[in-house]
Amino acid sequence: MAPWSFSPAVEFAVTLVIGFGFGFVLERAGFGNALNLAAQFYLHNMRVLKVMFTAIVTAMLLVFFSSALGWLDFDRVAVPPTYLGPAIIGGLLLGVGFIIGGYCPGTSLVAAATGKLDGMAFVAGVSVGLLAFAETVPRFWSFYHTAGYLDRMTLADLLGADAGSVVLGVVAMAVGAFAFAEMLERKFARSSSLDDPGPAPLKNPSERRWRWAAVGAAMGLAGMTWVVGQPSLERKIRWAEAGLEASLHSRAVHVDPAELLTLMHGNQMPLVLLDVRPESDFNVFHLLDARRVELDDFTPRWAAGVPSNAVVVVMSNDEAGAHEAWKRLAVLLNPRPEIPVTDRSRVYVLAGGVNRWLDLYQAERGDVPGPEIPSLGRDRLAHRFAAALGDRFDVSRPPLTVASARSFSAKVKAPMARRVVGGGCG
Amino acid sequence: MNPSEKTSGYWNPYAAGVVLGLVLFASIFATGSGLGASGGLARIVAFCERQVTPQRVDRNPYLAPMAGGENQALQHRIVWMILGAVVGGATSGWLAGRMKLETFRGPAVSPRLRWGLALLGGAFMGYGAGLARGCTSGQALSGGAVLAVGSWVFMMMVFAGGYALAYPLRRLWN
Repeated sequence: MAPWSFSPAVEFAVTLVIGFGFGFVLERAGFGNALNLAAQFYLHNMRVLKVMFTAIVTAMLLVFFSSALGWLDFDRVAVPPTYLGPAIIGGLLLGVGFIIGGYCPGTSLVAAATGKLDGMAFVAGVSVGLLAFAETVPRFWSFYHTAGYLDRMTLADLLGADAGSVVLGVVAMAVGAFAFAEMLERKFARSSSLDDPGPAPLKNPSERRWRWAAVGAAMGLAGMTWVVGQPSLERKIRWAEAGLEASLHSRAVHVDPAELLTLMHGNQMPLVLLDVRPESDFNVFHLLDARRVELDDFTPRWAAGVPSNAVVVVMSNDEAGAHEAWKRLAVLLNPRPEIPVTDRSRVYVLAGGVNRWLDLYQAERGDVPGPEIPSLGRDRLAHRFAAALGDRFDVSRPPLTVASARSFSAKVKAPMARRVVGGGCG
Repeated sequence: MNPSEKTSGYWNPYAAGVVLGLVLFASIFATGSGLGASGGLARIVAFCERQVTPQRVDRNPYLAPMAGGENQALQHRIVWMILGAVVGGATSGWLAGRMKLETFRGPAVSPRLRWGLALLGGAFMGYGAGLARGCTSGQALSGGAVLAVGSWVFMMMVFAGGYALAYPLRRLWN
């Protein structure tokens, strides 16, 4: 499932090609010419609005349609985090700069690349502005960093609606905006002294047919996106089912109690222990620092709060409950859950669950199997305690010497520090 | 009439928009991030400042993550993006015969004044793009396509700012 993860060299090459396409289209759209861009604000040529909104609508339709069909994992697409305060002030400053200077950063690069001296001056100006911003932002750092901060928030999240319905609404809004823009163009065509009169009224019936076909196709795609809906976690698990089952079957993600105990004593990597047993069992006994969670707690927003360098270990009394939880967590946390785990995973299962942990450390049985052996128990707590003390038992975290007495093959590897995927303009 | 001011020779705006949208989708689909321009310039600025006063970069909370300490400001995809955009724009302009040293300006504006205004407008935009964490490409276009709330607010504000000053500044362009 896209987006793909590339090595840096490949990613730079792919981005170079995409950048080439970006610059080429901007130039072809007429955006290497400040007069075409400024005309937007004098209403006789709304090229800027038409190109921008058409591009947004096209990309938006394809993004959410691919997400609905499971070709693209939207949770791994960079959505610029919302900071309302800086977005409002910054947006106004960009608007002012646009009408004074006639370009925006991307279009000025294209203008400069085609020899336009005003474009070159604009690029220099942008650099000066960025330098001025960098040197002054420490004075209002808290505004920059907190004003109106809403994290990763889409219009669909804001409205509590399926993204497909929002997509359909944006398409309808764009079609309305285009009709309005062309009306304005006709109205203001002659009142301007600028040479470029803007497009002539549509006389060609074939172009008219093309337009209706495009509107129909966009509406149809948006409607289908809405009908299919954005994938729930359950649907994503179904898509990745084969890979998930293979990972569990190969026992590549099961850690021995002794390995877990070693990790609990070591401070090398942040450890997140998740206990999915019923509350009563959890109250009787749980591992030190384990958090009790319900399966429904696992959401993309929850997953975003898991530190990217943390190792997650999930447990139940035996393994069945932990396996259900692992599938959800793997879909949320692992980059490619559909591929069986062979090397690295961000989430593991405690082999044999709490019962095997207690067999080993409480009952001190000598025949406790290694992590390759599945536990076939029915996920009931098999040990008895005189009192429900939660994690205030010695066996909630036995001393390290107990762990080193048992030999095990280490499975957990430190997660690769995931590079922060910033938005386009970082 | 200056021939480069004609709209003919440029693509139909809706067709250009569809192709731009396909490029944007390709970027999101392949790499997970959209297009951008000011981010690349910010990294170049950070790189240049580092060559002059590295301590100042290390102490600046905005520049340090890009160019402070061990960070290599230019080893980021966005820098390659603007490199590609420059080459792509030049190729398109060259193929269309629009590669030419000239200055686009309103009829009442001298070339020198136009350059000064472009520098000033650029400075406003650079400052605003730093503040908004992106420009018309990275915020409005890329964020708009993934329905980011802040990007749509930003986009409306860009148009609001432009239209608010369009009438007082009409002599610059008309």
